[in-house]
Amino acid sequence: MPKYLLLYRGPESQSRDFEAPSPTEMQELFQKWDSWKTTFKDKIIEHGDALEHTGRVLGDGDIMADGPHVEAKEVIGGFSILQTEDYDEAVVVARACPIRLVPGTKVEIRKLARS
Amino acid sequence: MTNAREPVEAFFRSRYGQAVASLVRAFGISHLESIEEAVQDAMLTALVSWGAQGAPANPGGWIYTTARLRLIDRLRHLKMASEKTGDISRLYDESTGFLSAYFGREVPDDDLRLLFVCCDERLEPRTRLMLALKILLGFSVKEIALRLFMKEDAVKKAVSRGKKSLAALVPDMETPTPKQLEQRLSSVLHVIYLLFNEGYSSSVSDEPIRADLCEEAIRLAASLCAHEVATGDCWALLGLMHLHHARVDARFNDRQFVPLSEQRREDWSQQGIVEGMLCLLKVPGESHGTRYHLEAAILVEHCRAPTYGDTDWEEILRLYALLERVSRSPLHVMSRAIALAEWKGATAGLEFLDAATPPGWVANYYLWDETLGELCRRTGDFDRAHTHLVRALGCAPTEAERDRISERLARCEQP
Repeated sequence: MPKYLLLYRGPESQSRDFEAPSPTEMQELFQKWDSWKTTFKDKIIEHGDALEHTGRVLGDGDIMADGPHVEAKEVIGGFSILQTEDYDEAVVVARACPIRLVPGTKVEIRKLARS
Repeated sequence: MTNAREPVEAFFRSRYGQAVASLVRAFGISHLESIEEAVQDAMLTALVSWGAQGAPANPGGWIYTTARLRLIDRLRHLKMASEKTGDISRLYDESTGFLSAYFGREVPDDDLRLLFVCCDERLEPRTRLMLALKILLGFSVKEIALRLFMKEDAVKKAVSRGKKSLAALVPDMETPTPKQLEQRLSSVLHVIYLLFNEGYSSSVSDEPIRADLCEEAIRLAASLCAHEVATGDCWALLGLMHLHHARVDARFNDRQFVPLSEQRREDWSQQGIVEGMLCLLKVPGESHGTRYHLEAAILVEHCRAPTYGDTDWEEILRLYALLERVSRSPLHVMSRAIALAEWKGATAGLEFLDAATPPGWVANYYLWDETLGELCRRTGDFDRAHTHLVRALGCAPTEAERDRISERLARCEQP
């Protein structure tokens, strides 16, 4: 069965033009994340993790210590890996992901080429 | 995967303010916006990371460290973007993350200190409360609007104005002086009590009690009592909240309100009652007879009575009369009418309440109508009872309260 990478993209906080979830809402999201994992436990083969917003970027022989640019409007906040019948099924799982309840967040779905 | 040693269920709610407060202490209130964003970011990261990998052993430390790193990135970036912001490296010490600044007679907890900062006497009392809810508890604009009966737009404007004034009023790193601490104490107590009340009878429609807010209020008051600025009033408030909180489990049965007369007294937490009483013992004589002390004394009377029928209503009415002298509140008038009805009969209670002239906002307050309705019902005036209860039903904020009012309404339709 093919594998799909889910990338969680969100706006950098300075470029947020809406209110971030309050701690109370965050609490609910956290619980929803748990039920999401349970509901799709056969489909989510790697739970993934969140990513720090900055790191190092290697270019043509250069090291950019602060890449991706801190001034980026959008950052990749985390990832998970699915294994599903097809794209459509991967979309069903991704659609139910609680991260989507965070305003401004997008979930990108990419097939792993050799899977 | 590590299991969290503290329950993650209430984690986001309880730790938001502490992280913000610690960072404000380390970096200064002028960076408040960036600090709030950094903590929100860290919590969003936590959401994904802990959701996937489980919570770390020390979630509080994790949030703080992550937020701090994000904040430093942010401030560096802001500095690069505008050299005018000055030398931010001065603001934090790379090795410890804290400026070893002087905090004489400091308030022990960062969040308590921030509460004192929010209670600056130059801010409007309502703004102080809104800032405390926003900054210390991370309430969203919507959540504040719901609780304070305000429009979201108005809250948004007031909060943003309040934050600006705060940044202007409070220079970097400022800790309130001992004199300011004393001046602000009553305002701080007021905010803590409001927080407790919001938890004790929540305005969130499907959550009649929010234990986390009550516990947060008790924690803040307890750390205040540990500080040398604490007065008898602080102990009285802490005692009062313990006594209320001791009855919290008995107030609900299957999400339905249980009135005091029907509460199972064996469900009251004896430990909570004892804790409350111990706090009251610490109130020195000269602080007796203040608002919090009298409210606590009334609760002590209830806790002392082995059954509802044994309640010493005469003593309770005496305390209400004293309370009215130090703190005139329509809510006290209401409770006094209920006590009077228990002691001398419903007619006496109703006459007393009818003679009171409530301020405008109370005339539309559901509890006022509910009390009038219930007293009318007991005197046999079912028509009037019906009118008041229907009005109350229309304004009650939570499902549990609407159920209670409906039940009273049903009782007056089939006498």
